[in-house]
Amino acid sequence: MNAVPKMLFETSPAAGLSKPVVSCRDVWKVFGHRPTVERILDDLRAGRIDGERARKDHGCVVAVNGASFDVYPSEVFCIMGLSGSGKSTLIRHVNRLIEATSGDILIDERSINALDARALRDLRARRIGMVFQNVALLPHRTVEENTRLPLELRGETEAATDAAVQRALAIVGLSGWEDRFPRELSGGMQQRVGLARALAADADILLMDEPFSALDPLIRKQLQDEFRRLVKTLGKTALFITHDLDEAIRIGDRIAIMRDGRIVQTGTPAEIVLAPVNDYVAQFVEGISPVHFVDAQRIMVPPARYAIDTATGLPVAGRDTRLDRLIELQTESGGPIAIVEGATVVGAIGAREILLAMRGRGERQKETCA
Amino acid sequence: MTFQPAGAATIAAKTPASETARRNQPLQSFDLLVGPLSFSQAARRGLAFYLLSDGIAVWLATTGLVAQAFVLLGLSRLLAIAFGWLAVGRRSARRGLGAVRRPWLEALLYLFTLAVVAAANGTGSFAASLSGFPASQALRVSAATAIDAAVGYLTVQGDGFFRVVTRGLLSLLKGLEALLTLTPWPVLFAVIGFAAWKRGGPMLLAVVWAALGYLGLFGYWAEALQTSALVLASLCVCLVIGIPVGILLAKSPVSRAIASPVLDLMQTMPSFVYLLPAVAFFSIGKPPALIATVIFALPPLVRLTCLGIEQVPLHVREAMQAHGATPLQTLLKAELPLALPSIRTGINQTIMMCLSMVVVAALIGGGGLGYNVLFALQNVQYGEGILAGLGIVFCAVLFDRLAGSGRKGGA
Ligand SMILES: Nc1ncnc2c1ncn2[C@@H]1O[C@H](COP(=O)(O)OP(=O)(O)O)[C@@H](O)[C@H]1O
Ligand SMILES: [Mg+2]
Repeated sequence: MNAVPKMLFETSPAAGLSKPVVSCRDVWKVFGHRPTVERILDDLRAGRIDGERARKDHGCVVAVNGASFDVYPSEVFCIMGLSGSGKSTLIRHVNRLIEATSGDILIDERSINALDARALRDLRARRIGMVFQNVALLPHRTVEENTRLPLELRGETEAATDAAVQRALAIVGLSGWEDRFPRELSGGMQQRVGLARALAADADILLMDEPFSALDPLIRKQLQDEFRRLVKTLGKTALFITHDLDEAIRIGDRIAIMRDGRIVQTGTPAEIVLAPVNDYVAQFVEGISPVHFVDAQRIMVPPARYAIDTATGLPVAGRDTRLDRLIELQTESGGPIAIVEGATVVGAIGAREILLAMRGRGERQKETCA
Repeated sequence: MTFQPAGAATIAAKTPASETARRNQPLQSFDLLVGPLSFSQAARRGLAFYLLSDGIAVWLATTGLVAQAFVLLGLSRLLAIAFGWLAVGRRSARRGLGAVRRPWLEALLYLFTLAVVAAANGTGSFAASLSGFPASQALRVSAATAIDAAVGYLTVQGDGFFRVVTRGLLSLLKGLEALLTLTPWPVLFAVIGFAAWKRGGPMLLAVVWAALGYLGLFGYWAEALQTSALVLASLCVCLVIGIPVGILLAKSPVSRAIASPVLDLMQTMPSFVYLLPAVAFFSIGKPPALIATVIFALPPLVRLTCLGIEQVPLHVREAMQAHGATPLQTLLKAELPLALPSIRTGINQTIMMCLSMVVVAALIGGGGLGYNVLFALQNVQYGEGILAGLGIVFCAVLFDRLAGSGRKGGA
């Protein structure tokens, strides 16, 4: 049971409630000879050419294929896909390290395509922090000097910089390591420095490109939990790239699954796990236990099925009680559980429903009759 | 809970990125101009076939069988085309045979062979004329005269400019020389000794003092200082020119394509050759010696600066950019510091090359230890020559150990 995201439901996704901080609108990125790319773009968009053909016949690589998504304030949005699926390319569009072939990226509902060099630098220095898989610290600078880099680049005063750097290093737990060089730190600590560097600039958007992928599992888990806690307490919005679904579920409020440059499904961890849109996603979520995602609402049957009309004498639970709790109730009492809303019994769950839910697949059909 | 085999994540859909990269290289058109060389990367089988058949055709023509040669040429082309189309499909045919892939290049090769074969027709002495290249004395003479004229023209037109440069270089040299010669020798011993101690401890101190002692005791002190001043002045000029040029080359592939052959030329041209234009433009004395030295010693610094900056990992540049760095900030805060070890190596090599020029520079009045060697050679004084040569070696040791990045690094 290594994918137990204990803080998973701490905050519900803000989706739909407020305006997106980052949105990608039909972003395409085709690498290759510029004129060729322009020539085949329309065919690509219309689906007359697929990525394979573009590569074989035209020598172009379709790295991002019409990606659209919105990230809402204080949300952790994960993009998950195997390596080569275009995640890094996509995330680099958000701070325009890579220019889109077509499509639009909006920060606070304003397109960044139109920004001039200075405005773009300002955006990068103040609004968007980025952490890289390979850390990308400057080896000739100490931890402290690395952390102050973004502030130094935007010409902040010495005093303000010092304060921000101390704060950032304290947040990631690296106070006292200021004068070390990156090569003296472990991988996990280097990644903390990378995070501190992004935090020092006090950016409200964090772009994380597989920050923990190169770390060993224990450290990775620790950093994942810490990262999630930190982002939530500081109220940052984060785009988090990973090739590991466990990590995406552990960290993300919502997850987008990417395949060959295309986003195939976007949803909360529960939606992804319980209702994969196709076999590809299903294959990923196959082994994930449903106990943390399934709630009573999803699996309950009409009370008549167990001949229940009042809740007296029965264990009761709400619609949103999760499967792990339902299992406890059921095993304690041995009989069916009444699902109540106020005083009325709206459904019932017996051992059969629980077993079907645990099996996973059967539960998808069950959904419809609930 | 197991959910996803770890290996699945690493199954990358790798694309032929290298192929794309090669296609985008600016050098590609050069590549094409060079001709069949480019086949060495692309379609070797096709090329071997053509070369073989064309070679046989040329041989047939020289032995008088011109008609047969033509037939062979025609047949080989037909065969190639037929083979190409019969092969597993159009694409593999394109891969397998250079003819279809680079048609005009193949056409050129073909025309050339045709011309040779045709020329063989009727000229019996043709085979003989192939063994000695038809040299044109007049061509060389007129080219050399043209260069002379150009140099003469520039000397007259650029007189003012050359004067300013000469004066500038001379004052740099004189300044450095004065600085070194006016310093009492015990002070130099102490300063250099201290630097050696800092760098390499007592061992290096002993080596350095021994070298200085040799120069002093054998009476080469003043000459050694002159030589050092020349080397240091050349180094200054090299740094001022070499590092910016190296940065430029690293940043712009076009300038690299242009400068690369020039740098090759500067490095492979015998160093004596620089003396002539240096003398032509700047007359005899130390400034032209300095300029010849700079031309000779500049390439490694440019190359290694360029290399050092190119080697800065992409992700470091990306990180700088992502945090809002301007290109200049990226250069100053990330690229140059990371390129520093490479630049240091370049400086070291440049110093060594400057020193290797001192004897040559002495030919046009560079003075210093080089002149001692030269004088000894001219007067057949073996002993003097060897001692002065050793003096140069000790100078090199001093520079190498103190200024260079050396083998010790920052230890
Ligand atoms: N600069 C580039 N030029 C050409 N192809 C590229 C470039 N960058 C990435 N690609 C290609 O785009 C695809 C997606 O790459 P990437 O975004 O790095 O994937 P991921 O981060 O998901 O592993 C890959 O097939 C890769 O080869
Ligand atoms: Mg990546």
